[in-house]
Amino acid sequence: MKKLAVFALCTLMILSLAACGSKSEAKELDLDAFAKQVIDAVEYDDDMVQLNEQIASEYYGLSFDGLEQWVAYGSGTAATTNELMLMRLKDDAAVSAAKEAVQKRIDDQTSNYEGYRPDELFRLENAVIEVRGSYLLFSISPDNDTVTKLFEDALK
Amino acid sequence: MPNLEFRPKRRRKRRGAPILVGVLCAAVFSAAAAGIWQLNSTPVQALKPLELDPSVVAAFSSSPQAVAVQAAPSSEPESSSQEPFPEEVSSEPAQSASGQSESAQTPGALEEQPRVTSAYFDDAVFIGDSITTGIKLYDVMSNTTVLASTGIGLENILSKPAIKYGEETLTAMQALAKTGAKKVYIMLGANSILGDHDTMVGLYGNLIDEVRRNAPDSVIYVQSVLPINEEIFHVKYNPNTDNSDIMDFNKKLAALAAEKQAYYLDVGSVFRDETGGMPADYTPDGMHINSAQYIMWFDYLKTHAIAAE
Repeated sequence: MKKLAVFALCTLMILSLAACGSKSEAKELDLDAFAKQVIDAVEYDDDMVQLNEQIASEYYGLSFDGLEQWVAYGSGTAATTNELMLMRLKDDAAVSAAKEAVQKRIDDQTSNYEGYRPDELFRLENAVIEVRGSYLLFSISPDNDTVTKLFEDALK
Repeated sequence: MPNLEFRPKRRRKRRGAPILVGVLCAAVFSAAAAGIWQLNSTPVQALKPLELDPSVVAAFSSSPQAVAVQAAPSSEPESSSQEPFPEEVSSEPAQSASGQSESAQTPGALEEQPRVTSAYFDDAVFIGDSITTGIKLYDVMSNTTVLASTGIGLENILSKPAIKYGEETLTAMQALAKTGAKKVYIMLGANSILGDHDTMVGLYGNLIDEVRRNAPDSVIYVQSVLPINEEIFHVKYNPNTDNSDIMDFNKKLAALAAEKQAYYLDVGSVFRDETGGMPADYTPDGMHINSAQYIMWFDYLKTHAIAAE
């Protein structure tokens, strides 16, 4: 009887630990705090301002299903193509749609700057699109190594 | 007596069984709870980003001129709230908020006028190049319409469909016709200073004619080409453009505006220091303007506006 009780208690403990253990795999990212961390850490060569819904819709569409949350910053002066966009996405379909949206943004900006400021094309060509779990990072910046590392560290 | 011997065993059994059942139930419940917790997604709600109004933040930050502008006694309480203020034009001339000399450096520039509120720009349209695109980023100007694009210039403004308007991409004039604008602000020419000025002024004149056609009865404002910070610009872009070239061009724009019954606004005066150039901390690259400067620009426009009839 005692053995059975002990066994049952052990099972109970193991199950509780298992519940805690598997929960930590789906890591939550505070998009707003993370974006601010990136803006502070990277030496952007331009004023970065937070984008409101109207301007972000113009840049990215944002009308696809499964977009749960987003935060975006962009050049406040139009002097560079610097941009930072973070999205939390519900499923694979949403991730695909999001990737398409940011790729389209790169294409639009490329055609805007092609004849006008070819030096910005280098920055656009080095744009980063990275997905980890439910999160998508889109970055055009002078230091994408730092941006990428911050993203990967945050979601380890 | 035999019963007494059995009693302890029976009692243990009776105590043991409920405990075991209880523990097993707890284990099952825990497993079920963990399982349900895993399967449930968190409530889906598209959160709006924090409405940090960078314009307000900038206006109350280090830029002394921006702060002076906000403190001007005749200014209405400007806030990032989207509620429109009732249109009111004060009957006495506003004080020079920025402290800059009001003697326009370009002859023919519109002098200071009674201050208008943000609502003045409800039916205004801003046509221009990359500098003008920046207006869209700032909540304090969210009520106005911007028809601008990087890569637009005097040579292609009438022909290039570069303006996103709703679902369409149109030329600036096509979009203008749809807006019903009563005030049209133009800022172009920064990319044309090295071209032949007379040719460029001719193109600008054609543009004004087209604006009149697509926005009849509107007040047209020709805004000066902004000064550059020569030191930064010469390294970043090209060494051949100087502020004196820009001033020459602006003088021609002022004359053109008078000829076309438009108003010439010396917006550049807000950004010009004693050298005639743009201070280094106003610009990221010698030519575009920083966030705080958009606020200064708009405050200038509010004190150089012709009241609608």
